[in-house]
Amino acid sequence: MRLILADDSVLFREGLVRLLEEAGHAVVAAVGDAPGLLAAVDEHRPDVAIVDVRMPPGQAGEGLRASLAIRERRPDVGVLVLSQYVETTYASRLLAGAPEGLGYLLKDRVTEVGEFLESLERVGAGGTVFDPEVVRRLLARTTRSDPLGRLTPREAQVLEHLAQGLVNAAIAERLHVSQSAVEKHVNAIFDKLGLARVPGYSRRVLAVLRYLGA
Amino acid sequence: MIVHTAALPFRADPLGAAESPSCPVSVVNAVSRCPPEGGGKVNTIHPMSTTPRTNAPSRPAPRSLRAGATAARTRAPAARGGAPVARAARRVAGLAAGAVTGVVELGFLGVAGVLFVALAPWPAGRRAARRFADAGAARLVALERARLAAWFDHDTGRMPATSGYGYLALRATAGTVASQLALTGLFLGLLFLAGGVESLLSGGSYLVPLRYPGVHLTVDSGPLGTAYGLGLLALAALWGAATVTGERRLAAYFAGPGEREAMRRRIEELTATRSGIVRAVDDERRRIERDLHDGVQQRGVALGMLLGRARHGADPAAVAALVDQAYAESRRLLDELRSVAWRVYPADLDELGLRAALAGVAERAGLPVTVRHGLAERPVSEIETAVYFVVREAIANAAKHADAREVLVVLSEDERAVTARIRDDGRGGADPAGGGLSGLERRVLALDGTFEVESPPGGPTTITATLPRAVREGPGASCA
Repeated sequence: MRLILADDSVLFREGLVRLLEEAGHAVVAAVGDAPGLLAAVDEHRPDVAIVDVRMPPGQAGEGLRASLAIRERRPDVGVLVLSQYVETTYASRLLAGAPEGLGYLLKDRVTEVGEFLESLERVGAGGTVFDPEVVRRLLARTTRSDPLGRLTPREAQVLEHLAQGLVNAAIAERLHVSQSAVEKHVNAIFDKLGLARVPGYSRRVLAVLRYLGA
Repeated sequence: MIVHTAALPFRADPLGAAESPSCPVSVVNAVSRCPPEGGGKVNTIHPMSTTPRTNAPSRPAPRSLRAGATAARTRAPAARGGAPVARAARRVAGLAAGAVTGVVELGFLGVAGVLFVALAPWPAGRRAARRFADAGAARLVALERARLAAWFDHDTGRMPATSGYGYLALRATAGTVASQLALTGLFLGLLFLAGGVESLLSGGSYLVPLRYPGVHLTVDSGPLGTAYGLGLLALAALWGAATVTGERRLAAYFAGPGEREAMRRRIEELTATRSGIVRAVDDERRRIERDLHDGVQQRGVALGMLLGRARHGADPAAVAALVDQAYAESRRLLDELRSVAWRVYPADLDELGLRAALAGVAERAGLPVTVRHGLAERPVSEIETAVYFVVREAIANAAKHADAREVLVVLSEDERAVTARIRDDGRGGADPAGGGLSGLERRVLALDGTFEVESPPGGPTTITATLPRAVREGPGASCA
């Protein structure tokens, strides 16, 4: 894939460029601030832009605003947002538009190289990827009366994986259960959350997260 | 090993090799090479200051700005007193001016009184007379304030309009008489002295017979005139000094803050410095977060990425190289973590005291730093910490922004305050409102200290923090 990388830390940028190039991707531009990112996206039309939330000049949410701008101006460009902290507010703001080709991950996830590259592929293919931490945080703030509070621990786990954009087969593999068991859990989740069944996993993620973010 | 600086005698020589030969402190004697004082932009901030600082670093002309000069603060006469002769001359000039203004004031009060009486029957006339009188009184009071400030080294606060008349009436009568007497004594004394000395020198003296009951004396006119003149001058000097004191007291009585006023000011000051310190704490936390985010966390992620790539790699040689890099990165991460922790708070400071902690700062400064440690004993903890951070920040600024070649740090004390002065030979133009400096300022002000940044474009930069040794007493302490 052709990628653009935006992060103000040179150290991080260099490391990630190496990592991505070793994985066979082409990093067409690596920039350190939001205006540079927007210009580079316009110039190179990458498959995916990997963006740090915090960038100069303000060091507060510049990357997120730039990401939203990219999604509006160039819906064909995937955006993978990296953040030092997981903020559910950021997640819901990103989800305000179309969910295709969108990712939001904790920055540390790049160290889990294999999974990070998979997530990147999914975003590049138009999928949606959310950090399991986002789901965990949302679950943590639910109450008993909340439908989310009625999820079993196993179902919560499945929900985390759903949010990461994984298909049932992949979830089954990771949780070491059968695929039919996963299907059962997914249906239970949808039932408990009162969601109609919709085909396509990015839509599942969207549905779940929209509900959670509301 | 614990070294108590309290046990160390006063020493003027720079910190360094003599005390800790094993420490590679880069210390040079920068004293002679540091540029002389003065001539630059001065920005003094008192705790009471609410005035915005307006001196931009780009302002070319040297300019002195003293914010927060309030009624309660009388600048020490020594600050501008100069030589005794010059001071005496200024006092005499002030008395002479006072004699003149007194006459003017008497005239004004007379005219105002007559106007009041004459225009009393008509409301419009009364109002006009009132306006005239108020405007005149305000002007005369301002004139008196200027006179007191210029010649008697006495800054009074703005006088409330209502007390202006009382002050003028008292000052115009008593002040005028006293000034006239002092000046007359001075004039006569000088005349006698001049006559006596002249007749002594020229030899043109004659004998003066003095006859009192039981006393029959014949005195030479030369010594008599001289003695008479000297006596009169001494009396005039005493009387003049008393007049000056009286004038100052009178002005302070009418203009000076009452206890309520002093209390109100102190509360204002405490409110301001309290919110200042809260902001300083927040700023510091922000800095720590940024330190962690930009340094430690990035290195941690970089380290993780190296290990992740190593785990992912197929070629054993490449994997080995990545592990080597990861190891080096882990060392850097630990260095970074240590330095962040040190920036948050140096454990040395509590354990070893200011002297050792500042030696540590000097070692890490990256440019030659001379510390002249003139404190006989360790200040109390909060003062010590404030001094430490002021010095460290000033050195960091000198190295980072001012492009300085060397830094001189002088710590001194008297019975009331501890002063830290840091001077570098860099290019100046430091912004006192900038992040680091304003945080320090807030910290210093919260301890009732003063913080001064003098940094004209082109340098040099001098930062001075003065911190009281003891906690300030009640409101009375602020109004001298």
